[in-house]
Amino acid sequence: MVLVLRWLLGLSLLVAALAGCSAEGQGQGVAHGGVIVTSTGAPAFNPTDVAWLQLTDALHTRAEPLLELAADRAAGRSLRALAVRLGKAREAGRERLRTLLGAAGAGGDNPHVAHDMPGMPTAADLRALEGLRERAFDRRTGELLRAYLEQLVLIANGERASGGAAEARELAADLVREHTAELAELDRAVAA
Amino acid sequence: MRITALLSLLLGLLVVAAPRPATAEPVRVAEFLADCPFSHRLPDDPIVFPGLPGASHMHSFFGSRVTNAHTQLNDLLNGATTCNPAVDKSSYWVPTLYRDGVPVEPAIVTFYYLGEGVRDDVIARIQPLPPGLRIVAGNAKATGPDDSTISRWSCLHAGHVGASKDFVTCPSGTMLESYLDFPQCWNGRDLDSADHKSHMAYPVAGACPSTHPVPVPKLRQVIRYPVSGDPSHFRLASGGGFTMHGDFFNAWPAAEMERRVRDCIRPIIKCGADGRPS
Repeated sequence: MVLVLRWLLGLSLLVAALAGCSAEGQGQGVAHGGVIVTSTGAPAFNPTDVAWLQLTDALHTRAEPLLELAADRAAGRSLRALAVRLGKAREAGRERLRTLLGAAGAGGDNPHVAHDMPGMPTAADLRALEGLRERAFDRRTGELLRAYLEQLVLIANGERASGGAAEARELAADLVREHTAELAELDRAVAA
Repeated sequence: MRITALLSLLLGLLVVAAPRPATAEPVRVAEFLADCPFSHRLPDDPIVFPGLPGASHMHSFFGSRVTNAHTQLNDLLNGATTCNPAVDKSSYWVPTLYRDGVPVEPAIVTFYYLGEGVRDDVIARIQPLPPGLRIVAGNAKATGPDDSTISRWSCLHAGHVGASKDFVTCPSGTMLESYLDFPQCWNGRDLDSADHKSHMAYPVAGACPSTHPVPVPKLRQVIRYPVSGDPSHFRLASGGGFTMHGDFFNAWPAAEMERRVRDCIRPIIKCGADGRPS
């Protein structure tokens, strides 16, 4: 009897493990490739976590030249100051991102850096921006920064809703607040 | 000019009228197919950005009508489809094509499932694509036409234009078409992988490599866009023509897929959308 029970338990564990790839309705645990499973069987990082961490980090990488250009060339003092501050905030904030990426087993090359994804200034965007002066430069810089910050908020909200790891969802909630405040600051800087 | 037209008409008649050899062998092609017209557009990708609506460049979805960032296998199996046959609930998507900034959706979208690419004895033991399998083909990150990609552009009814990794100039009255072959060797274990590629592989010298030992039908995506002419007007949501890629989320009911593999693929018989010899 005990043996049968043990066999059944083993079987159900096996079924649960196999079902991890295709099963429905397991809430945050619904997952496919790349899922990390803890010793208790509860998924820590799900594919949404990994995709969000990687895409957020890639957005920051791709925004660096924009922030540098704006810090150097913006005509408006408050826009220039904002670009400097965003650059510094990113350097500090990315440690948290990268720690989580490492914990999720995705600390290697970022697959999204080489794409032109929504919110990323493209090479053509940056070339065109370099040719602008004064108010035209500031206006375009404001548009590109807004696209970048709005995309960060959009995907962080996706992570809050669909992420698996509590730490990652908490970071997403913090980042939504942070980037929303930056967007308000950008509005003021562009209006100034 | 008029003589040329007359000549080509006569030539055309000759070609059509040419008698076929009476004792022709039946065409040995291991094939079944699904025609799945355009369904919808969304900046979502349930494989690369699952759970993150709006994270992706714009995609055009074919087949399943319900696909979004959150899609799981059961959503597809329970959802509606544009496919003929209607039993194919799979979702297929590509980056949206734009002409002068306006989205263009294809006029003809066909997904062939083929045995070709491996030796006949390997074809004879091809396994059904497992429900929930996700496959990505092409190179969305290609930075130029010299970059590696398996995707090809050509022109429907204008074979002389030739195939290219980048957009081609199709003569007026023809259609720009995209061909993309998906990898057909599975590792036999994972329905997806962290990079969404490494659970699948292309065959080597007519067989599946030992790392990916399970041969499955090769998905060939053929998409015809109702556009022609100067390709400088075209771009994909992912960039240049060389960034063309395709995503496949398998939601064929297992029995329907099994029957087609048994009746069409393994015995090398050409079947239609209904999975019967055509």
